[in-house]
Amino acid sequence: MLQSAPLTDRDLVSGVERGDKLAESALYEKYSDRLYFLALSELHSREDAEDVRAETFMRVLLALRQGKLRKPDSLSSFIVGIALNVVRESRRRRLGTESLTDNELDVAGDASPEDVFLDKEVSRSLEETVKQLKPREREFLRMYYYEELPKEEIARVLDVKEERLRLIKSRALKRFREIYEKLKRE
Amino acid sequence: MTHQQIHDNEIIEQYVLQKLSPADRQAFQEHYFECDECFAQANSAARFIAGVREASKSGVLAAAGPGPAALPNRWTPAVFNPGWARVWAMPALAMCLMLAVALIGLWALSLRRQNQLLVQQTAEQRATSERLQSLEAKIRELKASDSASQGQKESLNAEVARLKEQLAATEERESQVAQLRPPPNNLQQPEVNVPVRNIYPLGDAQRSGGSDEVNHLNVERGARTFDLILGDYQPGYSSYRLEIRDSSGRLVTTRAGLKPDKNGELSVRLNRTIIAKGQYRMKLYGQGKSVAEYIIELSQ
Repeated sequence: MLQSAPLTDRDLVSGVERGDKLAESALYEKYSDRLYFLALSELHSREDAEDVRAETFMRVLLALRQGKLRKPDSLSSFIVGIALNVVRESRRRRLGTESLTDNELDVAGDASPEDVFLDKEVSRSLEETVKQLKPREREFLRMYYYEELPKEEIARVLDVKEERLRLIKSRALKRFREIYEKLKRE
Repeated sequence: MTHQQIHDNEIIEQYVLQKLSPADRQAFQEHYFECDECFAQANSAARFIAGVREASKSGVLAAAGPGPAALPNRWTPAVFNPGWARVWAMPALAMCLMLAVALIGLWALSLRRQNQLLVQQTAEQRATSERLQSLEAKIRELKASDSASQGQKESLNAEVARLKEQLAATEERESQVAQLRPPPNNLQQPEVNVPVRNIYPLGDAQRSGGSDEVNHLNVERGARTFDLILGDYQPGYSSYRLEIRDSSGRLVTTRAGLKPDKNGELSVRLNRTIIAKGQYRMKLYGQGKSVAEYIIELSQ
């Protein structure tokens, strides 16, 4: 029953409160990817993001079993709140560790923030997307996302309207998403 | 936070670029925990932006081949057919070559003609100018001696007016020719080594080896961008905003969201099309508070 029907947050909360293992699995299934993405966006480290996901789930399950969530419909906000607390604790811990030695500082800051979202499918998808862009559209993406120039300045330099820039961006992103999802399925 | 607000305000992009306030950030996180579509879009946007930055850093984005507009796939025949080439391609190629030679010849002729016209116009202008000067001298001489008749003076004044008109017409033609000249070729070259320079704030510029407060910079002519490492920028803020004004006080550009790197260095990449030769005043702000000021002078 729990495996086939889509469960509402209310079902999940009451299931976990009763100690139903299937409800716990369904809860993990529903929020796991989102939690990992949130932690990755905040901490820019895959290892820390894994830790945050695991720790958050433990705390959420404990709180639900103890009946601490009064409004089951606000389950997602409840999980986000706990996750952000765990992220803060992780940051504090990281700062404490980093102050110990230079070597540890180097290891902790090894990856740049964007690197955590890169993989070979991202590189291939972007390569394919870029091939379909005009030189001026490529230049825009570079100036906007890499040089972080304001849109009005880019519009002036490339001699295009600002509305056009938004269109280029959404078209490139849509194309990238299609290619990326196709590669992930293969 | 609604779907419409998220779309209209480009919230997903701002989230990925870490430009939302903490409250908006949390509001969007709560939204995508419930919304499959926004979660999928945020995920794609994060990967896309990471990919674009990586490609820009490694030069892939700039060095990629020509786009579809420049080289449509339909122009490439799927299979090379020697028979087809013999019958159609060779004569077509020969025609193209002949056409190209003819066009180059016409262009060379037009250049030569334009050059001749310019030489002729310059000579005419010089002669008119000399004649004008001599007539004006003569008028001054006659006025001084007061010996010329009214008729002579009027005739000379008419001649001067005619020559001035002629000179103005020649100058007008010259400016039209100048406007028709093609603009200088500014095709962009792939960027290989981005120059990096250290700069120091007011009151601290002597450390750079200079004797005054101005950071004198010499950036190679070929460089399209250059990096500045902002010395003594007062650390302690999570991000910084840089405001750049030219010597007349006009705002040239701003850079927001500047963050120190893992070594604690704060740097900014600037484009030579925006920051050209001249002097600029750069003000650095941390959470709206002015924390350092730099003056740079680009010598080329």
